Amino acid sequence: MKPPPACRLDQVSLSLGDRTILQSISLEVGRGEQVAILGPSGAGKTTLLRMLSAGLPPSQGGVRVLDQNPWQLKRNGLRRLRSKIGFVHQDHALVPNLRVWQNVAVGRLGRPGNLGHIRRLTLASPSELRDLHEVLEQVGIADLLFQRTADLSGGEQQRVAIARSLYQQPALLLADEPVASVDPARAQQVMDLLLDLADSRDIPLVISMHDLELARRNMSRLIGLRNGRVLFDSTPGEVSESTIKELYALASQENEAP
Amino acid sequence: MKPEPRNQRIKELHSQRPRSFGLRLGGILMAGLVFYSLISPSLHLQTLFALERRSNLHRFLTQDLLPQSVQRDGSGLTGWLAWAWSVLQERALLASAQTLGLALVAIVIAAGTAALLATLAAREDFPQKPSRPTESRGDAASDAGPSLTPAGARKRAAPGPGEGGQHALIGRGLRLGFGLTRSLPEYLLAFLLVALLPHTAWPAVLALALHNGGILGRLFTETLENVPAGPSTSLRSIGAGAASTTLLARWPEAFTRALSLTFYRFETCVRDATVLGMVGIGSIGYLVVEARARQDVPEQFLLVLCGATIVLISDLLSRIVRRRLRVA
Amino acid sequence: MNPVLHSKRPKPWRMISLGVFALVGLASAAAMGLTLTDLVPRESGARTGKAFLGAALSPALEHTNWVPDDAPSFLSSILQATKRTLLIAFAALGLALAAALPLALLASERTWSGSSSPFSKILPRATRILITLLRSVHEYLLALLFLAALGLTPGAGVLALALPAAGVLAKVFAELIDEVEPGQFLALEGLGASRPSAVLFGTLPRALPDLAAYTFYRLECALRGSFILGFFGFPTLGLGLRLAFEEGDYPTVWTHLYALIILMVVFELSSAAMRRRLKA
Repeated sequence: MKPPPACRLDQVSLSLGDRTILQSISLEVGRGEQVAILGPSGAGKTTLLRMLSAGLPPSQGGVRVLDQNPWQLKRNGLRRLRSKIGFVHQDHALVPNLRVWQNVAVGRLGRPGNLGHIRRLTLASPSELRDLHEVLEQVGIADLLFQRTADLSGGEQQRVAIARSLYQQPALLLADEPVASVDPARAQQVMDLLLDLADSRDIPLVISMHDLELARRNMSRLIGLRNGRVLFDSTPGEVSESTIKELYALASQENEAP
Repeated sequence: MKPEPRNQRIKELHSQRPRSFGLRLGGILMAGLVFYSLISPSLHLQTLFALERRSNLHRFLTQDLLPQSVQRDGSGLTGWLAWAWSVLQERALLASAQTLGLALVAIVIAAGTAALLATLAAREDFPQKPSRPTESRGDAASDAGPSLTPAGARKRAAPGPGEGGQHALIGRGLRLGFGLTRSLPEYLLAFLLVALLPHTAWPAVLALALHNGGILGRLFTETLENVPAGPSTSLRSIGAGAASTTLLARWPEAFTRALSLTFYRFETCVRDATVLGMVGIGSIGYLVVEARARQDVPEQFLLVLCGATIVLISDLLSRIVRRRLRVA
Repeated sequence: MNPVLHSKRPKPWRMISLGVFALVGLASAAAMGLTLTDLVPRESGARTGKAFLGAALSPALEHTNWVPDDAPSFLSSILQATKRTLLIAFAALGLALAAALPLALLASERTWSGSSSPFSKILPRATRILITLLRSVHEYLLALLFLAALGLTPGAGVLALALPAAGVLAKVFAELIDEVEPGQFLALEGLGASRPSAVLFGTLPRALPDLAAYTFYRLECALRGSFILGFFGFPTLGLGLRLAFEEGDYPTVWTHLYALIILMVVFELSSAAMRRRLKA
């Protein structure tokens, strides 16, 4: 029997006010898949990621994440589910005036324990520090353990954000535009890092991005999103030039209209 | 890496972490002072819980707070209300009105003077700070400013190219003045003025007006300086002077915020006015001191309630007006 | 919003409120019988003023009236009073801070955002009412009440300063916390953190420099308040100042004033240095 998919959207739509953001989207992300969500700005990529991360309920349709319907769970159930989903935000969403190790340790706030969290984030035990150091080592910035987060460069901060997600020990890793504002050489580095981490943990990876070439080279599956609809969903080889043109050309026309 | 070398490395990193000794020292000093003050023999705070205090407090709550007439006939709450009403009618209502009057006159004088001086003090060619969108932040930040050093003097040391030397000097002097008047306790000011001036409400009004004028002066100056440069640049280009540019181009933009700040200070003004009468000027505070001299605790308590009510009412009024200003 | 466009919209409210404000101010000045001639000191006032200002450059350095031989020296008694002024302010603000932080977290909208529990409606509102009540009574009025209730002990002064300070701190803290952008808070909720811990580790650290800066300002207010408490008999600098002033002993008054000014300047300089480091 096939194992259940990590995420599954079934005819999902979302509208806020009179604006439709996602329109009847159906897709599955299987275990170990590496998916790029492509599309112009405003296509709904971030919203789709938030839907997959159990961060946003749909207006219509069914959502299953890690074999659970997040919107039928009680508060604690939802917290437990979310604690297994790593999400690397586009702006990293780090707390600038905490130390690096604290920003990583925050990743385990989804686990049970109240006062324990306060202790863990103010006075980490040696074994916890070892874990934090190890996770930072995996993203290549172990020596920044005790630095102030605000003093770090943008790229280093992104690695801290990735380390925070890894520290969650996630069953699913999502990243919103991780290569949107870096030069091509660095972009490939970041992609390699994310792919390696997902590979070694055998968890699915979903990334939203602009750069088609980068996606083609690295990811096993491409999903094109335009105006909240899925334009294509296939392997890199199957996506034709004309489809890509359609994805960006049409959208740029529509984007000009306010 | 094995656990042992990793621990070693973590220790190294920990010893190399960036630290701010000044901040640490300051923090430890502050915390130390708080701790010391709580246990210090010169305050002996633990005596607050001593038995004699407790019986004192007990007597206060059960007997002192009730007027003797009410205690005698045992009429309870209705008796207290009747007594309270008579005190209110006799003098407390008038005193409340006087208190409000003090605050009103003071804030009008303060705002008028501050507006005038801020027009002179506002520098022109400032790098624009992003204006703050929310009202509350402005209030909080305005309260938090340093008091003896003029706002932002350090950051903004370099004068702009279009600034005349004389104008800059006036501005700097005014800023220093704003800081100085703010740092004096208004109660002390009123206390000193009472000895100098004839027996009217002026000492309290002046003390309030000076203190708040200093605060509003700084806030108005900042507001004027943060107004978008567009209109004033075009006025400057046709040869208008510094003060008239501020008057014609900046004030219309800064007006709403300045008014809102004035109302915000008005709340504080009313609150301070409730006590300024203690130096001997007809208002709630004066009655409190007088009742204290007669050892009339019930009346003191009633007057304190009265003061709180005035503060709450003016709070509410100011909040409504400020919300309107924000919407309008 | 475009400020230029914004200013072109008619705003009757601001003119009306300005007019009403000024009118009410004038009317109350008239009603209170405040005339400009009363702003000029009369003869006796002018004499007092001259004597007072004349003593500014010659503050007293030793006792001006008779004291027992075993009494502490003048300067050491000034130093003692300064110390007590400082200690009362610090004790009051320490207590106020301990109360204000939890109150602010309870009153903050962020803490309750998206909660559906029945507490989420009642608790913040009740806290806000409590905060308003704490703020509404002036610390000097409280001081007099506590004097009656507890007797003349520094503790009564500390409590009187602490309660209103707790109210103001809590109010401003809650505002500052609610102004922090929600990004980190939402991110922490997104990885499963409970709402309290998301506020504690996502929002609070970002507000901390502002909270500290405001606390310093309040500490400065507490110092002024502690000084004034002396006027009501508490053993701070204000007590000596008042007694000396009433005796017409202006050199001694100036010594106390200078002590206050030095205290404020030293405090201001050190707190400015701390604030700069915190913001950096």
